This record gives sequence, structure tokens and C-alpha cells, in this order.
Amino acid sequence: MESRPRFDLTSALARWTADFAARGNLEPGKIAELGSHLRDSIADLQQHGLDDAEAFLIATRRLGNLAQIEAEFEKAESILLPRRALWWLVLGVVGWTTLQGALHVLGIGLTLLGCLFTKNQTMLATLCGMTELVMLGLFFCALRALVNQHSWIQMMVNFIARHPWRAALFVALANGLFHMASSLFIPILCRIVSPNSVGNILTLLNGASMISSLAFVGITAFILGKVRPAQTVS
Amino acid sequence: MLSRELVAASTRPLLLSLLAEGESYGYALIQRVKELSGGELQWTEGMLYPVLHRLEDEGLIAAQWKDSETGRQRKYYRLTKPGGKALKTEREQWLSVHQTLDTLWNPAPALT
Repeated sequence: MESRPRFDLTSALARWTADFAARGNLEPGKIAELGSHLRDSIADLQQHGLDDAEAFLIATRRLGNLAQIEAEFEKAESILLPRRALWWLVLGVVGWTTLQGALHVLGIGLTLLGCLFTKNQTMLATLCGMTELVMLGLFFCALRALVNQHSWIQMMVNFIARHPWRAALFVALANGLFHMASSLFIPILCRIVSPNSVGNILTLLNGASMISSLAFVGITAFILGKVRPAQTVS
Repeated sequence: MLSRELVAASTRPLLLSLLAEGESYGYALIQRVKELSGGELQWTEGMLYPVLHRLEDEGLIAAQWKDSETGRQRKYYRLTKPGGKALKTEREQWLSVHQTLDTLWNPAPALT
């Protein structure tokens, strides 16, 4: 009887991994974890006297096919995402926008105070920028502290960490819309309230807040890049 | 064997309780729950990993790739502080169901 070609477990596992990666939408981290599971399962079966090929066959069967696994992941995630994480994400954007509103009030207050001493617009713009930066710093400190305290924020951060660009885009879009509305609204308001210097200052403020939103999106994307959980395995 | 619904509903408190014993990984969790339940509870991989990832997303457990005793890496899960709180709530709820059923099935002897 002709002997079967020698079964190489390492290359069989590599083929299995490559196949899962090529055909499905599972993230590399998930595939690595399933691969690790497969090895544990194979090791266990080998202890019960099965050879490499038999153990591999049974372990992969037990794990189930790609479509089944993907369906289970989708089911678990679809329950989570729309109902919870997205709510918090929306709330986060609303919270951030509100915070920016408070920041404007503070900025306007400080700038008006500055008007008493100087009419130098560069100086006033610097003042606006500084206020925004301080608030931005406070915001991130608060966020860091909160993340360690509450599971729902951790959940939101995890969601963002898994979809950083989608989340950043969403925040940028919401912020952009807010600024488009405000940049239409503020000049009109300025014309009505005060025609001259205050109008210029408010335009400056608006510009400063636009820059800070851009900085916010950039910093968020950067931090999320760092938070992102380990996805690879050697 | 337990019904699918009961298996699904009990996964969460079981996982939180198992991880309260100490950190562990997917394969070991399946083996442990099988052993503890005398074979009544047989989790499938397809069901377990999505639930683990979901609990991780909720911040109730945390995961980390680490070297194992076999020399290769495994993803280990551990309970977080919010996870401990969630376990306490789950425990209270399951105990109240258990207590109600227990009272119904083993009525106290009538006082004469």
C-alpha cells in the first residue's frame, strides 16, 4: 500500500491561518486567537494518542467553519454597537460640543477682559488660543481619569480603538457641521450685536476653535493608535 | 444537556466567575466549565470568543497576549474592576432566581 505524504502540522496551521485571513473579514487578532486555540486543542488530542493529521482534522472540525464563526462574532457585535457604544459616541460628541461652547464663553470673557488693556489683535488671538489649549488639556486629563473609573467609557474607548478612523471621521464630521452652522450664525449675530471690534474678535475666536477641533481630531487619532489592542502574535 | 437559551444566558455570569478565580484563556475556560458542570455545559468556540470579545468591549474583562508555559503566546483574559461589580450584580440576580425556584420545589414544612 502506498504511504500517505507526510503531514506537516506547522504548515497545515499556517495554511489554515492564511485561508481564514484570505476568505473572511476577521481581524488578525481574532484569527491569531483562534489559531492559538487550535494549537491547544491539537495538543490535547495528541495526548489522547491521535497523530498530527488526525488531531488537526478533529480540532479544525470542532472549531467550526469560517462562516459560522463570523456569524457568531457579528451577532455578538451587532447587539453591542448600535445600542450602546454608538449612543455613548453620540453623547461624547454632544458633550464635547457643549464643552466647546463653555470654552467659547470663557474665551470671549477673557478676550473682552483683554480688550480693556490692549487693542492689539495678535495678542488677543494668542489669548484665545491659550484658553482653548488649556481646556483641551483639561478635557484629556478628565477623559483619562474617567476611563479608569467607568466601564461604559472603557467600552466606548474600546469601540473607538477598534474603529479609530470611523470614529475620528464621525467626530470630525459632527464638529465640522457644528462649525459650519456657527460660522454662519456668529457673523450675523455680531452684525446685530456690535458692528466693529467685537465682531473681529469673534471671527478670530471662531478660527481658533476650528484649529482646536482639528487638533482634537488629530490627538484623538494619535491616542487611539496607541490604545489599540495587540493584534499580532508571533 | 442544557437548552441553548440557558447556555447562552449563563455564559456571562459563568465567564465573569471563572475569571474571578484568576486569569485564563479560551481553551482552558471551555475545559474548566465542562469539568465543573460534569459535561453538562459544553461551550463551543464559535460562541465563546465573540462573548469574550464583547465582555472586553464592555470593559468587564481585559485581554493580553502573553507567553504560556508551552513557549508560544496565548491571549489571557482577566477580570477588571467594573467586571467585579458586574459579577456582583449577576450573582444577586442568579441567586434570587435560584432561591425562588428552591422555595417552590422544597416548600418549608407547614407549621401546625
